[in-house]
Amino acid sequence: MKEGVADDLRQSYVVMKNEMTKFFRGKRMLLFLGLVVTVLLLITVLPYALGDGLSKDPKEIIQTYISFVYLLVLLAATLFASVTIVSEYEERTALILFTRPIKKSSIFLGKFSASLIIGIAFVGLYYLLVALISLIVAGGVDSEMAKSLLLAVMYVIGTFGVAILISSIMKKASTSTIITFVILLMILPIISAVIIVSLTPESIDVFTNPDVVFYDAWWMLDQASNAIYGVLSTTVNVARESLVMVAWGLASTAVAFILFKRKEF
Amino acid sequence: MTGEYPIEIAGLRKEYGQFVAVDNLDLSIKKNSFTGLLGPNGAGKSTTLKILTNLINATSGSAHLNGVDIAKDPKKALMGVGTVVETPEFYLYLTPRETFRYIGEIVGMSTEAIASETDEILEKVKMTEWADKKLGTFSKGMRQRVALGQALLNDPSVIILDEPTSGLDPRGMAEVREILKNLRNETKDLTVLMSSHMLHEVSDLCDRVAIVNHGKLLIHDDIGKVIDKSGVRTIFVKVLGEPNGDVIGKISGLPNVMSAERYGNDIEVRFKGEIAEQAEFFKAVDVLGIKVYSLSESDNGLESTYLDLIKESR
Repeated sequence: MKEGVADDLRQSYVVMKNEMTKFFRGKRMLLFLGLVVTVLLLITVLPYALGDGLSKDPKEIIQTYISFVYLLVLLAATLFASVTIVSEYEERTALILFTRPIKKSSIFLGKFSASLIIGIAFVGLYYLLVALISLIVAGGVDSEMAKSLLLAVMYVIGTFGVAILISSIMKKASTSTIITFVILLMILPIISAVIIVSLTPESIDVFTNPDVVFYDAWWMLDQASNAIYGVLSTTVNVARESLVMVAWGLASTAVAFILFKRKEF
Repeated sequence: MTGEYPIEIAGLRKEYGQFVAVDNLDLSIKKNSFTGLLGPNGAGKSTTLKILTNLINATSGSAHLNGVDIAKDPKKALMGVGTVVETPEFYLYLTPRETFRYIGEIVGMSTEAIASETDEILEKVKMTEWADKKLGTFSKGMRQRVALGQALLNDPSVIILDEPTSGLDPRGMAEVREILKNLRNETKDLTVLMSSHMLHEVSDLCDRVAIVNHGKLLIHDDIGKVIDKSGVRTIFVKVLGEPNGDVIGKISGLPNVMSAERYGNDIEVRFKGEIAEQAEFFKAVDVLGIKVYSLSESDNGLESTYLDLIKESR
């Protein structure tokens, strides 16, 4: 048997392949693809059904499609990353996998990288489709789209990190799925809103004073994710927002790994 | 010592809060033996096997597989070890062939080795015709046969089985037992540690037995020696008419009789003693004037020994 890190990585690759097979043969992938296709169809077909069709301005076209990216990434994290660890315990497949000569770090790495690859591949594909639509309809692609793509990939890292952390804590896949969705869609934005309101000095006059300068909770994941869309229309600190999202991903993944390593069957 | 004992457990302890599941357990499993691990519910059998298979960590003590400490280097310790813990579930989207490939790739087997071993093992566990069907459609018994099959991949020198027939219907149990029996008869360099609730299963399959209770080892030896050591036998006494309380009471009072209970139309007597004492017992029954038409010793001496040891350890 090959020794050391090379063999650990080889085993991670084997786990990753199996995890990808699970995703591709599972109902969650069908559900996810169904949702993505529905969103794409609605954005593309509705403007033609209700009026003059899509705008001829590449920036406007891309803004329309990109405004849904955060939601689709969030759904991907919920459907894939949130079940990757917990399902091994709930479905008792851990009794087969964990009793083999394989380190838990290799299992974790294989599983996390499989969901991450699915998430990033989906984002890449989505942006490619949007670019194609923009080329066909408006004859060009907005140059800021690449920055938005980079930020969307960083958001995948951030959200999938949070999802795998929840997956390492929970005992049931269904609970993990719901909690991941609720945390990413509601809890984090609520926390951000509370922080912003609390730390904005003129917050009491927020409805009467249009010039109020809101506290910038740039270090919150959901706030940083606003840059995916924002970068298309305003000045965005791409490096800072990217770092924030990656930091969320790395920190939550690190905690998830510690919990997973200590978790007993 | 390591070569002689592929599984070595020393001072093993596992606590869950105040509850001690395994209490300073010492157990060394002889090379090439087929050892049954017996004990009542909560005796610490599954906990011990879960520690051995790296599913849980011991509070203290050590467990070695082929000389490697499972806590310090689980990957190395589990090389060459096949496991079936409880009734595992499979990746239901895979077929048995794909499952074997997955496990084979994890343990580092070549593609050719996986392919050839897969066919051989599927034949052994009688799953050849189901090799390419999704596991999601299988019965529990079929899944357990696949579980046994994956444990045989890469020619393991040690196999750890945790209640391999638990939850199966009688046919499933018989199939799994037959596979294990064939394994015992056909494989030379193989050490098996198998926990079970079923005494007749252990009697049938194993050459050695370890009995645990409250996380402690009560006895560990060849099955024959364990039975002889305790000297406890079960004798079935058949009397004319229905055995009443008076007759049972008289038998209970005889020398060396540990207990006498009605068992259908028989009286089940648990008796401690050698052949000479047994002869005295038969004579004493006759002297009492009880109309006995049959006296027979149970062929499952392990059951009497087990019950005796468990009772003593309460």
